[in-house]
Amino acid sequence: MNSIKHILLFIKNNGLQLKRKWFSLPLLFFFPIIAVVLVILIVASFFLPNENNPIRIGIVDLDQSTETQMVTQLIEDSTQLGNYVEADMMEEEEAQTATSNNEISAYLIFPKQFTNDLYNGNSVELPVIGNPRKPMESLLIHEIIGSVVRHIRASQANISTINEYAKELEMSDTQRNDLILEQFQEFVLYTLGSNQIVNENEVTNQATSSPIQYFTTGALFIILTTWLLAIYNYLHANNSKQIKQRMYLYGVTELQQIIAKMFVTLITVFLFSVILLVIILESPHFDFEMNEWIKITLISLFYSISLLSIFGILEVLTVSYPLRLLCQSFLALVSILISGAVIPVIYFPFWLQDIITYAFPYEAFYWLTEIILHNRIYTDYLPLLMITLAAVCTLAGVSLGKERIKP
Amino acid sequence: MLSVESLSKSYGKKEIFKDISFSVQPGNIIGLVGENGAGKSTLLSILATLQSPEKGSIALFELDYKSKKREVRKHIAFVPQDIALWEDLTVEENMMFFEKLSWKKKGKEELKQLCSNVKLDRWNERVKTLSGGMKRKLNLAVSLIHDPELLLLDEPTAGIDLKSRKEIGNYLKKLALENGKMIIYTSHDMDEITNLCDQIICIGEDPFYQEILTETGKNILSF
Amino acid sequence: MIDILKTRLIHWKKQWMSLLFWLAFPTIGTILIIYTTTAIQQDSQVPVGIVLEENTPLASELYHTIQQTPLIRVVDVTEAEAKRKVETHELDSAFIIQEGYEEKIQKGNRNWLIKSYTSDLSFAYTPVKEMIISLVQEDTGRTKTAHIVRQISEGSSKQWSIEEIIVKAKEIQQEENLLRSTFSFADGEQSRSENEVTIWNTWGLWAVLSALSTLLIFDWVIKERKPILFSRYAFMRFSVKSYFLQNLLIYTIILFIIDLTTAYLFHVFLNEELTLNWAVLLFIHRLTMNTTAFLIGLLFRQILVYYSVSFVIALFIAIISGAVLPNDGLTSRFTWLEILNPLHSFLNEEWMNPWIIVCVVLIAIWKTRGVESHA
Repeated sequence: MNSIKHILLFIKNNGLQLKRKWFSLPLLFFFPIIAVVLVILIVASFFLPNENNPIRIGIVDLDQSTETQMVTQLIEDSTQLGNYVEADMMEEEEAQTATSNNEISAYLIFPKQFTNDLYNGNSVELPVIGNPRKPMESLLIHEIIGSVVRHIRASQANISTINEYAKELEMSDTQRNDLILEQFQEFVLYTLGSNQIVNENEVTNQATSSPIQYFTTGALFIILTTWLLAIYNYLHANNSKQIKQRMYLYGVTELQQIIAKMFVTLITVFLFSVILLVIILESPHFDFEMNEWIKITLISLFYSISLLSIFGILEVLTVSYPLRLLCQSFLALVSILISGAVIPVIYFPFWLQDIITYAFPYEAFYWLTEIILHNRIYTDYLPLLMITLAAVCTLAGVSLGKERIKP
Repeated sequence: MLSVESLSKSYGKKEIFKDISFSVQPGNIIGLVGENGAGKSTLLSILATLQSPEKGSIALFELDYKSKKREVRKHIAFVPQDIALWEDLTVEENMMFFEKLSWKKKGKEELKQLCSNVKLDRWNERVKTLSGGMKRKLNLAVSLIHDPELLLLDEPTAGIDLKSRKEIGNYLKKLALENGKMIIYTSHDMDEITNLCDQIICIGEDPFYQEILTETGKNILSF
Repeated sequence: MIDILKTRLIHWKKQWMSLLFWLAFPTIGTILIIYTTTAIQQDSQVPVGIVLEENTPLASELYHTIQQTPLIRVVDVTEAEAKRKVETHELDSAFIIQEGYEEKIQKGNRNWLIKSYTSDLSFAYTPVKEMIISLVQEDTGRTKTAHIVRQISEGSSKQWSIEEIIVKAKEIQQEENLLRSTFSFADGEQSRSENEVTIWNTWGLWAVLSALSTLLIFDWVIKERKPILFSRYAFMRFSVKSYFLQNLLIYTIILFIIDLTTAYLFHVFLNEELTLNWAVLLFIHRLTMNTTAFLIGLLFRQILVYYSVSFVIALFIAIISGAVLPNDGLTSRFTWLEILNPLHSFLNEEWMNPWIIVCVVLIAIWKTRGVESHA
């Protein structure tokens, strides 16, 4: 009974603390939103490359044959990304300068005797040199060239085969060389037409029948996590040794204070979420729908309690405040990553997926997407509830245990 | 010697004190008394160059406070009312720390001697584990590292036991008599003041103090 | 200066654990993050559904080749399952090797041999499709070759069967696996093998973590500015401001030594370049970080608020600096972002750094501003 009285007292105390510093509440409200919106902007502007600003690559042709020119063409046209790739012929020094001036993302070198070596069955390397300041784009270019190389490799074997047979047929050298060049062109065209192999069917992904719906869910989950982290730490009071002693004499435990903090954090985050959701749902620009309020609230609540409990455990275990902030931030980051809100879990290694499916952020985000995006009726709260209970019990155990060791 | 002439100070519209003049000779101990909030600490920190007066002038050994602030400071020890020490460091480390920043170089032995002069022998203990009296003694010792001529002490004996109080008092007396230091300090302990001081300065108009002070039979200046 | 260093050592003796932790944190953190993500990245596979509608040798050969690709985790499904799983995004995409695959290839017909299901969430679709196309293309290409050889040998005494030619072409391809592309970064001394290429910008990642640890290490600016201590500073040989500036210098030297150690460790573990040029850049960067942290510290009186703000600052640096997320898309549209970004000059290896100029000017103003307050 006493315990509950203490908790209520601290809840009131924390509430007052928030009220006194009300001017920082909008800051707490907006800071995660600004961060998430910035990330979305940055990622979107990267993944939606604009055609006015294509990825520029340099091609250094030391061979200068008809064939290399055709291959260049092939690179420009090869993939869907071809629209966004602009290839320029340049000298090797030019390419080096352009790379160090950050003008191109990568360059590719056709070595001397490239075509001849290929026809004559000598091993050839096609070096791609990336711009270290544009690592993502460099790798993308490398991927594209990799698939071009696979095509050339296959064609080259075929052309060699034709060459072999042509030799056996005792053709004259000129006649044979003409034939080979003709076949080379033929194979380049053939490769260019290779897209017709696949009959592509684009299905509507339920998740992205409206992509905004999907990304908004992810963004909301990230904002929720950041709010929990920010507000929980905002309520941190730096109690002096004297105050701590006084509390101890009144029989106040650390656990009671942590529970009070968790409670006030939950209430604040709840209010914040309501405000944000009202803004989003009322905004005509957002195509976002949400039903099943009770289910969504319950799942978010379980998730929040689990996360806050672990924040609490970290608070009990770490002495230094910056170290605790580091651990809690790291935990929040891991939570966001494994929930699937950023990268869908199916792309993780199999062994990692196995572990992740037992983790509460994954569990929570999975059910949220099921309800919001897939309109699922059935919800299995049990695993999430069990994890939440386990987290709370661990917090209590760790905290009371520490109190007992204390002299 | 220290000479103070018609010193006034006010915070905004509130006047703290007005027209204070006095002088201190080497070997003198001056007690500063008055009710709480009368301006004792303000006067001390003005004498310590930490604040500037509104009117009036102060000179220490002919050095003017306004123009020769830095020079003046070399001759002053200021012992603040709060403990200005590194709580995490030991007595030794605190002494070493402030010695490095001081105008005078002192060896470890000299520093140890300084501590034992104020009867502080917990050389290797952390400040946060020391008792209140010990902290006060260290607070004093640190201020004395650079052998100052003028000692300004803000309630150096507040809240400590009788024995430590005596020890600090005796040491101050010794400093004044044997080394010719000038000492100005505030206290609420009239017995102590009567015992140590050659002169008493009373700030504020409370008749209560005036009455008690007259009984001591000391030289009293009231402002 | 020596005396200030000695006072600093007295402090450090008490805080060596946390000091050491935060000094080592950016370097060790970077190496750990890169190693872990590379490991995860290497093990990462794209779940792709494959439907095999016929059991001919050519079709099952294609199936097995796809299965052996390290990038792909093949999931056996039926067409209906494939469609549903792509819709619910349990599969990235699905490919159906259609009935009549072998027959069509043998006839030299390569249209619509494969049917695919994708959605707008199929992030890995393009590379997977390209790979499968190149595999199918090998088969169709060989058939095409065989037909060409048959054509040119028409009327000659020598005749070969299609199968014979295909076998020969395969042999040649295996013997002469000639062409390959290699990848290296322009600054790398050794070219790394494909798997070791990390998407991280090592120094960028380090710069973000280092910004955080620098801010946290600079908590002394607040701890040592407690009002009560000013009554001591007044009677020091140094002015308060010179005491703080000398400490700033000491921290800069120590942190720069750590930075050089980091450069060496990155050289050993992550193949980063080690040049004199880089050392100078690193020093300019260190100076920028320290002066900034120093100025930020001067703004705060409460240490807990300062710590929290440090984390928020680090988060925003991580987001906008381009060190963790590629921000080219944004900076090419809003060039002014580059000026706001404290890491821009460092990461782009530019000597001119507007931040350091601003910081040095601000510190100079702080140093000379009026009479020393409180002291």
